[in-house]
Amino acid sequence: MTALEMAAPSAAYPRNNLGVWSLVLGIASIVLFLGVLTGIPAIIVGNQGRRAVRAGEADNERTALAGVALGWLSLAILVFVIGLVIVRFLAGGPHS
Amino acid sequence: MGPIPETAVRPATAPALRAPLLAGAAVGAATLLVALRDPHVQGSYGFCPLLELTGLACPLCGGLRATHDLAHLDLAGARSANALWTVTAPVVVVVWLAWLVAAARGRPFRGLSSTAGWVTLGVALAFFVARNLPWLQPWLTPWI
Repeated sequence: MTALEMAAPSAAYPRNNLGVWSLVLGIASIVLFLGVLTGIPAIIVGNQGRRAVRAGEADNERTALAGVALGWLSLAILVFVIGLVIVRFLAGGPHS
Repeated sequence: MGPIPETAVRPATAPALRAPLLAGAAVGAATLLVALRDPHVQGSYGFCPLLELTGLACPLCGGLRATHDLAHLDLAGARSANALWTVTAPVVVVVWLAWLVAAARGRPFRGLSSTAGWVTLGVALAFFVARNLPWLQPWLTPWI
């Protein structure tokens, strides 16, 4: 299990993993069609990552920001799809 | 990966244990529900919009069925529902245990490394592609 890092890494920026995980979750929400299931965690983890940048524990602000943005995009897509379903339903049933 | 315990200066107190214990309780309760209410019954948990609209199996397709089978110690059933989740779920439990132990000892828990993140994404992507290839569908998707 070498990929799992249980101990704190000794690097200068020990919390860069937050931004990276945010981007990973954000990409998964769009590319793997997981939607808000990973999109919302991407927003949460990404904001933790940005806080870590401000605290000097990370230096990947843009990565974290990209993850947050993709998370919000997944939420926007969900709202859009729900809106589309409602509009179609109001326009004359789901099979029109 | 859920909330991460605050800083290293925190001593081993009850508040440090609250996050992993709450996360464990929530996931445990959800698992119990899936174990008791069989997701193999069509529509028992609703339907998947992606599968309904596109016929694609996302990397989590069959995840509830695999969880149900794992909770009933049916490894073969779990593997046939979602092979990736069958091997990932025990890893999640181990990571949670590491989180719990770190919190109990008052140590900081950094979560999973960046490398683990990219590896997870790569594996999930490969699994997503593989299980939607027609000749692999009989082995990698929850339907026969």
